[in-house]
Amino acid sequence: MILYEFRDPKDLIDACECLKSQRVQFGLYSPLPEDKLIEDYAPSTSLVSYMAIGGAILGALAGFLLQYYTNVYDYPHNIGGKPLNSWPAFLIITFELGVLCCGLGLLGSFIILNKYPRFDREVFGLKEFNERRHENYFISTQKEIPNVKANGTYHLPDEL
Amino acid sequence: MNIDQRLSVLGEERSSFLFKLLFPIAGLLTLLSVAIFVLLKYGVEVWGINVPVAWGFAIVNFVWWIGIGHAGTFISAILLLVRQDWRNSINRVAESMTLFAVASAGLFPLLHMGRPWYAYWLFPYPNDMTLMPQYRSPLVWDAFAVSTYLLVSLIFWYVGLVPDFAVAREQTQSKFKRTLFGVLSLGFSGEVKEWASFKKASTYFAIIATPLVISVHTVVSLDFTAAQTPGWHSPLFPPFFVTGAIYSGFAMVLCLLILIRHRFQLKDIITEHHLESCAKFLLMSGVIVTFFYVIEFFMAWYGDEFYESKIFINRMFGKKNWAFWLMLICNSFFIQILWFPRLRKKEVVLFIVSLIVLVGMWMERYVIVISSLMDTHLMTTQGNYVATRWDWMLYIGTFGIFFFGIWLVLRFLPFIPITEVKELDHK
Repeated sequence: MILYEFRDPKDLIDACECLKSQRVQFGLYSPLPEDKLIEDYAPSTSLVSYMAIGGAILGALAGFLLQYYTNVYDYPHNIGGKPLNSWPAFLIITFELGVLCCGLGLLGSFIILNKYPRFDREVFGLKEFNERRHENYFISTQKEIPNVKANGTYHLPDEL
Repeated sequence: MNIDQRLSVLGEERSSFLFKLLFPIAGLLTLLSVAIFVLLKYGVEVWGINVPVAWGFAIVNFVWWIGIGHAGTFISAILLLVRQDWRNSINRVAESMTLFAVASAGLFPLLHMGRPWYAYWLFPYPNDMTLMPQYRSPLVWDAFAVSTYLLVSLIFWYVGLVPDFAVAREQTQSKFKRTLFGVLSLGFSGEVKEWASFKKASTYFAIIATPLVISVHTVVSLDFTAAQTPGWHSPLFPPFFVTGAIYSGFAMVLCLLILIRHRFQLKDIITEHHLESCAKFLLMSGVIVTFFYVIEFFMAWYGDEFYESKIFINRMFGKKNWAFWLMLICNSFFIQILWFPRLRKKEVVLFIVSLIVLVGMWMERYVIVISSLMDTHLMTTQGNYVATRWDWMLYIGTFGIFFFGIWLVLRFLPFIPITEVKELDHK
């Protein structure tokens, strides 16, 4: 694996465009969540949306059904002549469980998408990467980039 | 020293000062332990509660602490959605405050049960006692709302910390912290894919936390509103409680920020602009709370219901009138000085006003809980309430939990969000 280090975002974008035009897979590391880089080079993160909405629907459904089953079938009690299925009173717990499961879905999507915990990344083997990844940009790729204006080029041994 | 280094080692640099703080915190935790021990040994009779005032300090303190947590979520979620970038440098302190305020709050209903080891009965679980929670009861809604609030706030707080753990890991000298931050960062490498999911998840967390925070204090207010007790049975309560929560929460945020700013020399990061913005929120919520006080009295008069009017007359001139006037002076009078921009920028003024607001908001909950229960519809259910020393000890003791939590964050975690401050700097 080859790792290129960039200080100037313009040089980084040139290198990214070059790799993109050649359809070479590459990893792009940035010290900050920059909108432009995310828009142009991040793969789809729709899983976050799906898991959030899925979690919310499942949680809300489970919350409502739990209350419905308990009050209508399992422990039916006539309280002040109110209907067994007092759905307006059930909405709060339905909402709360919806929000809770949505939050868990979000956490789950964050973990699944990035395959956390992931301590064995190849890039962590490079001292310069660990020291400077919070200041500079890095690109990891298997192929050399022609005419690249990088501030550092590092060759990492291939994985066994 | 670059910003990464500076913000990562704040706690390590001031470890001797922070160590000294452990002594008063240990004192508070000792008070708490004694108060809990006595309570568990003798039961809730050691408190001042009685019939009809069955909700004493426990509920007053619960509502007060939960309210304090709300400003944290307000800063971390609502201000994120409306793109108020200034919040970036203070949101970690505010979120941490939420977590430990909610933890302190949660202790009160648990202990109020008398037998806290049966607290799990509040949640549905398969059992052979023909026992299930009553889902039409606001008290059960509360158990769900507060637990959800605590869990979602904790997850939101942790996800926000992941990139900062990765930064702090490289900066710290302590081997223990290096390992700990390494594990907690989950192997975050700063890949653009990670940032994309981080940003998206953070925005979605803010979207769900916004209605959540409003729902939590609304549910707390429904504990009161659902009852037929005069002074409580009012549709005004949900917005009144939510605004009051934000009011007391901003007061606590300001107190903490002013102390941290001084002690950690962070005047360039927690700037005058931050304090002034928080002060404006404090003023706004204070004015709204005052408006609600007026409306409460107006509705009692306009509603023309004997017991409702009696409660409000008693609040002003009855046995506990000192609490009412103290509440009004603290919440509605002193806050007015924040209309003056010059005073709004003075740390000392802000600190004192915030402390006064914290006292005032505690008095507000005291007035609501105690005065209404002292005078219900029946002659047979009219009484008095006097807090005992165990009530006071438990209340003061919960500051131990709160401050110990904040202490842990200040000592061990990057309490100024490194990534967000850098992002702001980058812009």
